[in-house]
Amino acid sequence: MLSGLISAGPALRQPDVVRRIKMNTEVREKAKDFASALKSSLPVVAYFQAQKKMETDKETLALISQFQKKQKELWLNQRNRNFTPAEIMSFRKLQAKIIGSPIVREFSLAQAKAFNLCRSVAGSLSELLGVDFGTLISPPSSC
Amino acid sequence: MLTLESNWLEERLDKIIKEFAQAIAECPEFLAFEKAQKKLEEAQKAQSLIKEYGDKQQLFHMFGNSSDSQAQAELNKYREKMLACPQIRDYFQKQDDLTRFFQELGKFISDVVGFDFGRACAPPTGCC
Repeated sequence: MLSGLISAGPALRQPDVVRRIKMNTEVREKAKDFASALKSSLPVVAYFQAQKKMETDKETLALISQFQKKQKELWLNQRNRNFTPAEIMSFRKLQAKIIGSPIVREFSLAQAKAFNLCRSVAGSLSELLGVDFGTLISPPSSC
Repeated sequence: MLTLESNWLEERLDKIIKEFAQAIAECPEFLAFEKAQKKLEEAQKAQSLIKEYGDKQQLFHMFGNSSDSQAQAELNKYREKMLACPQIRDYFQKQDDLTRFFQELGKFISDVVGFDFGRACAPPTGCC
């Protein structure tokens, strides 16, 4: 069993010697079985249903769009230190409205359940392989 | 198509997960990494170089500062010394290959599932 990975910093990355990785047929087939089973699971099916419901509800979409716009404005104003308490209050009201929306709540809950399942299966794979599967398959984060 | 019930993980996916893990464990990138790791663990000189670099790095993070170019240069010297060791270089090369393999795997799974599986597996944080 592998005890884990060692980190020695970005200096070890050598783009000039990067080799292409090609998954073999066996891994590809097993990965497909795994992903298909996951896609058919109740939490993931419920997640897609909730997402579709949210994406087809005009009122919710308008609310989300309004929220995103406000969020962007606030973020830009925050960078310029140019926002008023009234603006923050207005943003919080909108935030509360979104959180209170039954469709958004349903989506958020369904997403949490589906993602919990993903973490759970990644945990099982980590135990079997002896490496942190979830971390390894994630693209490098900027934060 | 499988319709998984509440205890699906234990009953059905368990087998699929085991077979998937087995296929990963037998792929060239994983085997090469395991081999490189074993060689690294057995090489005493390599272990002492890793420890030496780790100690210097810790001291740098505790007391150094990134604008201290002399301290940074000294740390780099230890890193280069460590990377000159063949077992360590080989280990990092195989680790990079394994990381790229898993990222390809992540992309493939995401395409089939229909969402970013890597992101879904990450622990919930306030970041991003």
